[in-house]
Formats: sequence, structure tokens, C-alpha cells
Amino acid sequence: MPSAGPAVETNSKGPRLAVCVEDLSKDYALGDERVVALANVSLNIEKGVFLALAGPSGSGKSTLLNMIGCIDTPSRGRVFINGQDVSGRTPDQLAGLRARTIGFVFQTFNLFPVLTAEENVEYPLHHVDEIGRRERRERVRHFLHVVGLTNYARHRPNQLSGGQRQRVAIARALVAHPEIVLADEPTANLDHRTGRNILRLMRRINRETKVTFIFSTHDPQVIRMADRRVDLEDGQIVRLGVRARSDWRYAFDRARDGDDA
Amino acid sequence: MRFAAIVDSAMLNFALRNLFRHTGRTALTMAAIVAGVVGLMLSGGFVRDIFAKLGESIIHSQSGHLQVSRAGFQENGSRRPEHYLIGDPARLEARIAAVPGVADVMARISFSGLLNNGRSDVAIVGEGIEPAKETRLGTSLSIIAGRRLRADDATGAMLGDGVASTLKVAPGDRVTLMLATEGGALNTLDLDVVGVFRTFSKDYDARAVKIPIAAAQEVLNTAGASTMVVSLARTQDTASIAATLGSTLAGQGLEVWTWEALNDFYAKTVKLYERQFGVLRAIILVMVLLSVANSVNMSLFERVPEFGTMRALGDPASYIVRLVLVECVLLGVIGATVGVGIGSLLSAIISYFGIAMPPPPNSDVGYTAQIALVPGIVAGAFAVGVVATGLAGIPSALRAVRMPVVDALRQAI
Amino acid sequence: MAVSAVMFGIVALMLASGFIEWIYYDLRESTIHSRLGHLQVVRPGYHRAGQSDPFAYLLPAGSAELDAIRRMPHVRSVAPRLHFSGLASHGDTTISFVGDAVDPALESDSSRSLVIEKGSALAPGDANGVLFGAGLANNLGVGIGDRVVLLVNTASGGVNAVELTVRGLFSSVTKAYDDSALRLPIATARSLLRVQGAHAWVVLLDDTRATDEIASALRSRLPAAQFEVTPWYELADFYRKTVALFSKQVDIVRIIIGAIIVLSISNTLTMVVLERTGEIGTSMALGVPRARILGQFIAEGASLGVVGGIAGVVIGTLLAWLISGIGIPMPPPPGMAHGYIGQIRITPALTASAFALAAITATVASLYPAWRASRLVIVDALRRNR
Repeated sequence: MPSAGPAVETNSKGPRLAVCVEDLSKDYALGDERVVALANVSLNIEKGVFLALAGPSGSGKSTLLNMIGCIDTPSRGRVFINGQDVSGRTPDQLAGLRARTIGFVFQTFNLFPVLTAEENVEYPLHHVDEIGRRERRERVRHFLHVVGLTNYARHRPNQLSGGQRQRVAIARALVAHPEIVLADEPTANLDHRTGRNILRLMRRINRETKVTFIFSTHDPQVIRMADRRVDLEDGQIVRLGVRARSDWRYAFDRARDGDDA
Repeated sequence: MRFAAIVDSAMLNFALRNLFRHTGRTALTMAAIVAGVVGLMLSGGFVRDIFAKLGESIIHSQSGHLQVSRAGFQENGSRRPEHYLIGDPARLEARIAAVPGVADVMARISFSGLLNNGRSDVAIVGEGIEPAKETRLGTSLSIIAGRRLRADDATGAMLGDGVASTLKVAPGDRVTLMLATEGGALNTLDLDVVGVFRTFSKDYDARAVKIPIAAAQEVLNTAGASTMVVSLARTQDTASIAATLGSTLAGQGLEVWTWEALNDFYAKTVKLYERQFGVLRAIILVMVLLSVANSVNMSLFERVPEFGTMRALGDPASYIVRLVLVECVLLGVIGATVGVGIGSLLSAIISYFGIAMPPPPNSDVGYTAQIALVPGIVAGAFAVGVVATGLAGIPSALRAVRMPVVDALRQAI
Repeated sequence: MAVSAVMFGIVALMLASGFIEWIYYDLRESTIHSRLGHLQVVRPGYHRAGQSDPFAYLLPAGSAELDAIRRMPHVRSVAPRLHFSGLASHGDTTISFVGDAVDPALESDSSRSLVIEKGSALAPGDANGVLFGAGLANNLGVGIGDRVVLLVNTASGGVNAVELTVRGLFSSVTKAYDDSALRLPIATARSLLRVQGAHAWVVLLDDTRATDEIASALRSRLPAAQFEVTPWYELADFYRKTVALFSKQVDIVRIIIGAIIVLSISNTLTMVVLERTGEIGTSMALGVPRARILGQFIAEGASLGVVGGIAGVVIGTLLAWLISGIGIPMPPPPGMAHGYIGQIRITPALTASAFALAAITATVASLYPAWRASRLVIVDALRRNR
């Protein structure tokens, strides 16, 4: 049986799906050994969800996120973004896709230290020729306001706290009006309360704008906020969950259902 | 691709700020560029100064700026000098003097013979000269004994240093000149040594003798001259005035020779030094490149995660390479500018004090070296600084963008 | 990367110095073998005043001293020479010349660096042949086989002439010489000038380095009142000045390369220290004394210099060998008639000084970064640890 479990939604790869991942595998060499990071993972992700990829370290959740973000290439299998197969595209084509469609929020914030907050937020737009100067400025102002940092526009990252930096990163991730925002352990470098505020902010944006948010995380706080969860272990999906009030309803649970589905 | 598409003001801004992130490191890198640029300016200017001084020395002790002579004389004249005589030197002199930029025109007649001091002979190459005019031209001829030839010295002679010391004669002594005239007959002329001169060339001084042109014409049985020596107001005008004279005197069987064409020694010196300087320039370029590459590579290594972020956010690989290139070129431009500034200052200081140089090979005359800065040298040094630095970062940048984005992000700073 | 900067600098220095070294060698040996010989035995004062009164400075034609010199160790040949000036005519043209009269049987060795451009050298026993300098022949308008008349003032004050046939054209290291000189058999010159004897006995050795040793041996054998021994370097003004000129230039190149090596290593080590700040802090926290940190980084800098130096020396030597095999075509330098094929000559002294430059400059460059490393405040250093 090739796949690790049925998809959450068993529809075709229509435009309702932000991301579709088909039979994805990734392995690499570590010294003389071969390490399997992902093994035949298939998954469909609807537009507008707030989804957590959960699991312990080494489970493959970051690898899966990187595949979706097109910053890593699979050993086998295919990735569909907005219904389009991205395999076989050149690195520059993927970069273009990322610029318009995908936003990133990193665990280590990854702001450019020589640029101010507003310049950092503006950064993804400088490659999108269709947007004129005036509109660029408008967007930057808007998203800085959304994340509550209007008064810090001229500050450089080293003049901002961790939480503020992550908020700048979120504004940056959104400024190009992407369809998908990917966040890899966004709260790992923040204290508990700040992390919670960041998550609430992202949740609010998700509800208001219907931008798909996909997290890779082991933080229970993040999982509590999500309305979909995908649990991974040793490179395979072991559980798929949909939020049911304050609990989860598991469409697939390997422990419960066994290896066959 | 429009220039604006290659680099825009936002990228320039970004690049500049990236450069000055670590001021200490940037300063040290620039020090290497500055050293290279300054080295090139000083050595290039030093060499140029040699050319200029050697040229002036040649002009003012041997050949003048230009010479007008019968076609074929400069190449073959020593063989049958009487074949190549200019019949009416005074008329030709007047025509040449009329050309603007010409300071003076004088006639010379050449001959070959033996100079005898009563006990031995020395082979000499002699010139009959117009003493007053030659004194004005011959500023690089230094008199080390006696005095210069004057118009009233009917049978006076100025001897080259080597001639005088070989014959062991001094001003006041008598010598006999023996030479062959047209037809092969031998003629002799008794001369009084009035002075001994020294030029930059030992070879020249070992064989040169100068007597008044009237005396030479009498012993050679002619009223003509071998060549008209032209002195100009400015050496830079040599080529243009040579061209003017060439067309003015066309069709009369005359040739106009510039001092550079007349002096094989100068041409060879220029070639030798240009070659050596070319090698030096190549060495400096590579050394600056390696040195800057070294430091740029370290910086780029640290920035690999940052480049990963940029690519994750959608920047194509070419953008990152362009950014690195712009940063390197900017670094090169700034460094080269500082280098030019310091180089110019040092040149001015060195030129003010001058460096005493020992006599080069084949000379007994030293000189005071300075640094002759010309736009060409400054531009060349500047270009080397910019090019070496500009190229330095490219291999590292290419390596950085070839890496998968995820690996770049993962690299710890 | 820093090592490659050092390496390249050392290779460049070795090739440049080696080329200059070869020029010295070639010029020295050419000068000795075409004009001067290793030593000249003359009458006292000849080189200073001899040409003003040449007939007063003659050495005997044959003598016990001459034979004694021939038997000395290292001496390859002793050849007599006469030197004089005169007029040469061919057809309607007459020009002055400087004449070197040689013994063809003995001088074939001495004239090794005299290039016979056309025709042939003087054969022993050929009493009517003459060799012309290429420039002189051109000035007179003669070629191989032409007859020329040489006219001179004799020792007794009269005039004498002889007709000779041009056997060949030569060119030497000095263009000025080729423009004015000719060579003829000493026997012919002696009868022309009406003298016996010679102006100089030109001594050729089998090894240039033996010059001083043989010179002092000769001086002790020959009475100073009658004989003066002049080594070649006292007569080779052009060579000496060439050495002076080029040595300065090589020194300047050495300074520039040294400066860039210092900057390069300094830069590298500064960054290394920066990168390893955490490690250094940890070491010092664990009790490693500051002096050891200092020593460690100086050693690192020095070893960069040593490794780069060794690599540079090895590659430089290899390249020198390769390039010399191919040869470097050079145009004629000022004062010379012909271009030449240059090579690169690496001597042990050259290698040692190049290596020393690398090692010393690298060590000096490491002093400041090493000192900075040893002065780090432990707490701050540890904080920078990831």
C-alpha cells in the first residue's frame, strides 16, 4: 500500500486546494548512511485553513514545510501549489512563484539588519514590477499597522524586541498578498506570552483575509490555535485531525486504524 | 538590458549599507586595495618620470626635438655623408623657423675621423655646430672642464668626457683631427681643446667631438650641412610640428625625424620599462584580487543564510550575484578613490623632495627622480583597483546561489 | 584563501627575482666571454691612461710570466690583445674604427658570446682576414668578401696601411661596440702598427667564482712594478650599474608583495579570531593562560606564512624550470643590439629570501590579531558563543 493514509479531503486537485502533496519522499546521505526524512507522504490542504504540522524533532515536519515552500526539492513525488505542478521548474521560476504566492515566517526572524522595519517589510515587493511606488508604500503602511508597529517603522532590527521583530516578519510575509504563509517554529525564540500574542495576530489575519497559514511546530500553544492538524512521525503521517470545538476529531489515526487505511 | 534594470537606487542603497556593516573589516580590505593602487601610481609615475627626463636629456644634449635632413641621410649618412648634404642651409633654416612653435633652427654637419693627441688616435664621430644656438639647446650637456664652444672659437673643440680621458687631454691642449674628404683624400685640422662635456650617455661621450661648423665645412670642403636641428618651445608639440613641417617641405627630397625616431636607446628604454611595469601591474592586480577575495569570501560565507532568506522571499539567483558584484565594485571604487587620493598626495611629497638616483647603466650622470602623474597612470591604477575588487566576490557569490535554499537557511552564522 | 595570496606573492617574487638573477648571470658571462675575460694582465696604469699613449704600455710578446700564468689552476686560456684606432676605407667611404687585435687560435674561447652574424670567425693562420662589427660594416657599406684598407699611425710616428678581406660580421652585448669596432689577427696588427707584444693578456678561467682567488695568486707571482692584474668587475661598469638598477627594482617589488601579504594575513586572522571568539572565551574560562592564546594565534599566522611560503617556493621553482625550458623572448634592451631569450635562474639565496619574506611578514601580520585575541574579556567572549 503506497500511501500513508487517506487525504483529509478526497476531492480532486481543484482550485479549492491551496496545496496538494502527492507521494512525497525525501532522503539524503549523512556520511555513509541514508536518512529518510519523508516517506510517501500525500496530503491535500484547503484554502484558508490554519494548519499545524506537528511532531517531535526529526519527524519530517520541517522537511514537508520546506517542500511546500519550494525551497527544497523532493527525491520522489510531486507538489502542487494552487493546482499547478511545481516539479521540474527552474530555481528562478520557483523564486518567482515564491515571490507572488508564498510568504515565509522564520524561527530566527531573518530580517535584514541593515534595513529599517518598513524597508524590511517592503523587501518582497521590489521584484514585483506591476506594483507602483505609491501602492508599495500603501501596503507597507497597511501591514505595519496590522501588526501594530506603525511607530517603529524607522527602527532597525537591532532596536526591536524579539516579538516586534517577528511581527515585522509577519508583515513582510503578507505584503505581497500571498495565498499561503508558511511559518517554521515561529514562536520558538519568543517567550510564552509574546508567542501567544503573535499567534493570535496570525489567527486574526487568517480569519479576516482567508490567507492559508501552515505551521511546522511542536509548541502545544500553536496546535491549540489550529483548526487542522497533521501529525508526523519518522517521515510519515500518523494522524490527521480537524478541530471539533476544544477537541480534535481524527479522520485518520494510525495507532487507532492500524497501518492499513 | 537597461542599466536601470541591472542596478537601481534601492539596490545601491542596500549594497552600500551592507558594505559598512563591519567597518573594521571593510577598512582592512580597503587597505589592500589602497596599497595596490598607491603602489601602481607611484611606480607608474616613477617610470613616466624616467621617460620624461630621459627624453629631455636626449633632446637637450644630442638630437634636439626634430631634425630635417636629406632623404636617406639618417639611415645611410655615415657612409657617404657628402651625398646627403643640404646645399643651402640658410634658406632651409628660414623656412623652418617660420613654423609656429619652433624656437630655434641650427645647422650641423657630421663627420667621422680620428683625433690624435700626438701619441695616439681615438676614433671619433664629430659634429660641426653653431655654438651660440647649440649652447641654448644643449642644457643637458654639462661642462666638466673648461667652457662651452663660442662663435669666435675658429679652431676650438669641445670633447666628450670619454674622448678627453682616453687621450688624456684637458682644456688648453692641442689635438689634431684627421678625416677623409670626398674623393678619399685625407685632411687634417689642428684644434684647441676649449672644454670637456658630459651627457647622460657614456657611449656618446666616448666618441663625440664638437667644433664650429665653419671649421668643419672648411676641412670637408663644402658649404652645406648634414642636418637642420630644430628646437621647439614645447616637447609635447613634437608630433604635430613634425607633421606640419613634413607637409611644408614636401617634394624637396627632405625628411623630418622626431627625437624619438632618432634615438634607438630611448625607444628601447621605454619598451623595457613598459614591459616590466606591465608585469608589475599584473602582479599587483592578482595580489589585490586574492587579498580582497579572501576577505570578501569570509563576509559572504557569513551571509549565506541571509542570501537564503532573500531567495526564499523570491529573489532570483542573478539578483544576488548582481548585488554582490555591485557591493564589490562599490568597495573597489571607494578604495581606489582613497588610493588615488593618497597616491596623489604621496606623489606630490616625493616629487617635492625628489629621490637621488645613481647613474643608470652606460651613464655617469645620476638624476633626481620624481613622480610624474599623468591621467593615464591614475586611470590605470584606479581601474586595477576596481576590477580586482569587482571580480573578487563572484566565485563566492556563484557558490552561494548554487546551494539549495534550505541548506543555505540552515547554515549557522 | 589567504594561503593562496601568500603563495601567489611568493611565486611572483621568485619568478621576477629569478629572471633578474638570470639577467645578471647572462650579462656577466657575456661580458666576460666576449670582451673582458675574467682577468686582464696589463702594464700598471694601462686601464686609466693607456689609450692616450698606447705604445708606452706594451707587454712583451712572449715571456716566462705568460707561460707561468697559463699553467696556473683554473686558467683555461691566456690570450694577448692589442687595442688601437684608425681609419677604414672601402671605395669612396672612409670612417674611423676601434680595433681589437686578437689571436684567433686562443680567442675562439673568449669570444663565445660574440655572435658571428654573417660569414665566419677568423681562422688561425688567416693573415688577411678581418671581422667587422655589424654596425660598423653597415656604416662603411661592406659585406662578406669585400676588401677594406686600414690606415693607422704607427709607433714610430709614421703612417701605415694594410688591405684586408672581410670574413665575417659580429655582434656583441653592446651596440655601441658593434657600431665602431673590428677584430683582426694580432699578427696582422703587430705588423701594421710596427710593434711586438700586446696591450693586455686576457685570462679566461673555467669558473667565474675563482676570479678573486686567481687574481691574488697572480698578484703574488707577478712583480707589481711591471704588471697590474685587473679583474673583470673593475672593468664592467655597465654590468655593475645594471645590477644596481635592477636590484632596487626587485627590492621595491619585494616591499609591495610583503605589504599585501601582511594585509591579507592580518585580515584573515582578524576574522578567524572573530569567528572563534566563543571558543577562545571557553578556553580562557577553562584556565588556558592568555599567553598561550597569544602564542597559538601567532603560530597560526606563522604557519599560514610557512605553508604559503613553501608552496610558493615549490611552485615557483617548478614554473621557473618550465618557463626556462620554453624561454622568454625579450626585445633588445637599451644599449644592446639584439634581443635575447630570457630564462629564470633560481639560486638557494633567492629561495631562502623569498621563503623568509613569507614567514616573517605572516608572523608580523598575526601579532595584532593574536594580541587582540589574548585580551578578550572572558564573559563577553562566552556570550558570543552560539
